Amino acid sequence: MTDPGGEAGLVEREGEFGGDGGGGPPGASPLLELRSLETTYTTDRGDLKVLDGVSLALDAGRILGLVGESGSGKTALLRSVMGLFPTSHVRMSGHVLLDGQDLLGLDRQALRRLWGSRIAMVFQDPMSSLNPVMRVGRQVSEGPRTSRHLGRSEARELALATLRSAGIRDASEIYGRFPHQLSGGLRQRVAIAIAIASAPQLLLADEPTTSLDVTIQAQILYLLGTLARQRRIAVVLVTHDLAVAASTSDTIAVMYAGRIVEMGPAATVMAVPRMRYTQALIRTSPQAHHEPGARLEVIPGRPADPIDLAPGCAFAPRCGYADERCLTIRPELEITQSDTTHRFACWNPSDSRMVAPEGPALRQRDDDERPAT
Amino acid sequence: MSDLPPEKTHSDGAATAVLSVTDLVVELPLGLQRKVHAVSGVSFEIGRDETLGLVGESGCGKSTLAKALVRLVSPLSGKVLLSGQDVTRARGKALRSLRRNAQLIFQDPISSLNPRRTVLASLLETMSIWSTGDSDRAVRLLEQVGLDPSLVANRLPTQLSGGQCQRVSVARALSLSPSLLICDEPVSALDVSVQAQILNLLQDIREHHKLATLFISHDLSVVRNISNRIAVMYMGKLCELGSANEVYYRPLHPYTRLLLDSVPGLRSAGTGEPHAAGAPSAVNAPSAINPPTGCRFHTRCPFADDICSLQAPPMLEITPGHAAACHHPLT
Repeated sequence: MTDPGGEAGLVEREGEFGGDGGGGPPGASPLLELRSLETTYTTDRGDLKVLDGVSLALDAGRILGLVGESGSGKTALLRSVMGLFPTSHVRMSGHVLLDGQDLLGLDRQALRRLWGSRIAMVFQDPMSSLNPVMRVGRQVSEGPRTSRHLGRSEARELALATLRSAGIRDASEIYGRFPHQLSGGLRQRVAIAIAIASAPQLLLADEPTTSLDVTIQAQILYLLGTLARQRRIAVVLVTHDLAVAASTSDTIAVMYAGRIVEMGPAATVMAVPRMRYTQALIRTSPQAHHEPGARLEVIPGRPADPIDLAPGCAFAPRCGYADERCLTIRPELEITQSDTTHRFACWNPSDSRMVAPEGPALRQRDDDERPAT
Repeated sequence: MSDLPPEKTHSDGAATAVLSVTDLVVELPLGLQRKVHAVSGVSFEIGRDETLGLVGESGCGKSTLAKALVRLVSPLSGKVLLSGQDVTRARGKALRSLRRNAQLIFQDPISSLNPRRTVLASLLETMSIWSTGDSDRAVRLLEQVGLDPSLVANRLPTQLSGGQCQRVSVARALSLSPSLLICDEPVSALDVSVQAQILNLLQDIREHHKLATLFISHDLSVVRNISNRIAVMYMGKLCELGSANEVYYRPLHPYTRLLLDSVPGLRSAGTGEPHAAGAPSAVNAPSAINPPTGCRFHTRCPFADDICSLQAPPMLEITPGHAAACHHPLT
């Protein structure tokens, strides 16, 4: 089961660099499917379940925005899909299906064949993810050269074409530069070029715009959107910024304490968030309808500590709507009656639209909310 | 909070502005005898109990400007008056006491605190240098910024969360009873839910102490939320200055419009169209070392014509209280 997947994927992708098909056998099965994925770190303080039964599906050409605060498990999810964890301290269970092939059982060698050619990753800080002493062009062509045994000039052509499709106009000039000679936005474009050079089916982007200016951020998000649509790449976009996810993704999944607590079409989740944490996140961000100087609504407390979780809903201790059930029984991710694509895990879901925030305010607590007066 | 130290005792007479900056130029060396004007002729004022938001892309000179206000870098020319006293000329003791009057809060809350000192020791160190209080006052300050002294006073910064550390930074800044608070990207490193807590805290602190605040951020929605007025900076120059709502809803300068258009909107979800502002443009941002002639934005500006490349536009008040440096302001 291990070997053929990697090889077959490679061969299959080779012919379609121009990017038409979604890859894999035709049919309704999604490109990426996670089934009850659990990832546990073994630490001195005990076991730390960073992913607690995550299930989701993503089709080719689609963007999934994965939103959550630090420690919610966003990056752990990407690393679990990628297989980047050391097996000695991390246990994983469940299924990570890429085009129907389960990646969880694969050994290092099989994984290496997947990396680049079928799954690729873009990191937050392009300066530290690029090789500082290798020219940009070689870094872009390195992957395809080894996996496809391209010759020097072929590799160069491919690298130039890839740099151009990553939105770099003067590709031949950038080709010979070192990363430190480039601006932050260009570096991130180069990192994206490296990721797509071997025409992967799945691109995992971990906070790709967090260290960039708004104007550059808009360009990089535009690029990701273009790549997904034109090359039929499935993109998982991890971000802490709800607005970034909302504006770029088809689907949004909100994570809290290692679980997905709400998931649905971006427009739906933003307009009618059901889960109280999602609603609170939207309300806490400064928005156009707030008057300057207006106090922001606040989520009291801090993000949950995964080592010390309440038995019920992990958000319950910070939630103004929590009752006895929330504190004792964990809600599951369930679909809404009106919309089967929208799921949320909440015992006391919201019914209001987000346009005019209303309803009882979040529980105000002096210790976190305002200076004692 | 009943027994706070007495409010400011500066008697600055006629001047109402706490901070007044006139034609400030800061030159930074690049090596090989090359120099760059990181701040190039900037003028603005901040009054008591007022927050001025300063936005711009990285490298536009925001932080250099902040540093020049307290002489962490020395300006080449221009004038900075803090409570009526000239910061640019002050030396020795006078400079030190001026610096006490303007406190900075930095982006990374954890690295801006001494990792080997407890929260209480950090506060006491600052306070003992200026003999502005004792541990009782330090405890009250911690309470005032929303921390429980019994829990945090004896902890090290590494044992606290980012939000808590930022609260400690605020307490430390307040311990010297400054009249100007300079916040350089104070919430960029924080989670969204914590960010709102700190923004509310800064708002309360400013109101309570009637501080003048310079709030630097690249995040326009954050700046709009906390500021009374907003200044937009591009390549070392201010290009727009006006009330928060005016700048946000009726930008005059094309650069401000570009910034606003680039902000991903919570409401633009699911339109299927990626950001229009992110579409490939014909030119990249020019280098600050070799700024374009005339209006520095003209190479990226859709409205630029001949005059823009020849003549630098002066900062003019175009509608009451709303100024822009542009030959063809948006209306």
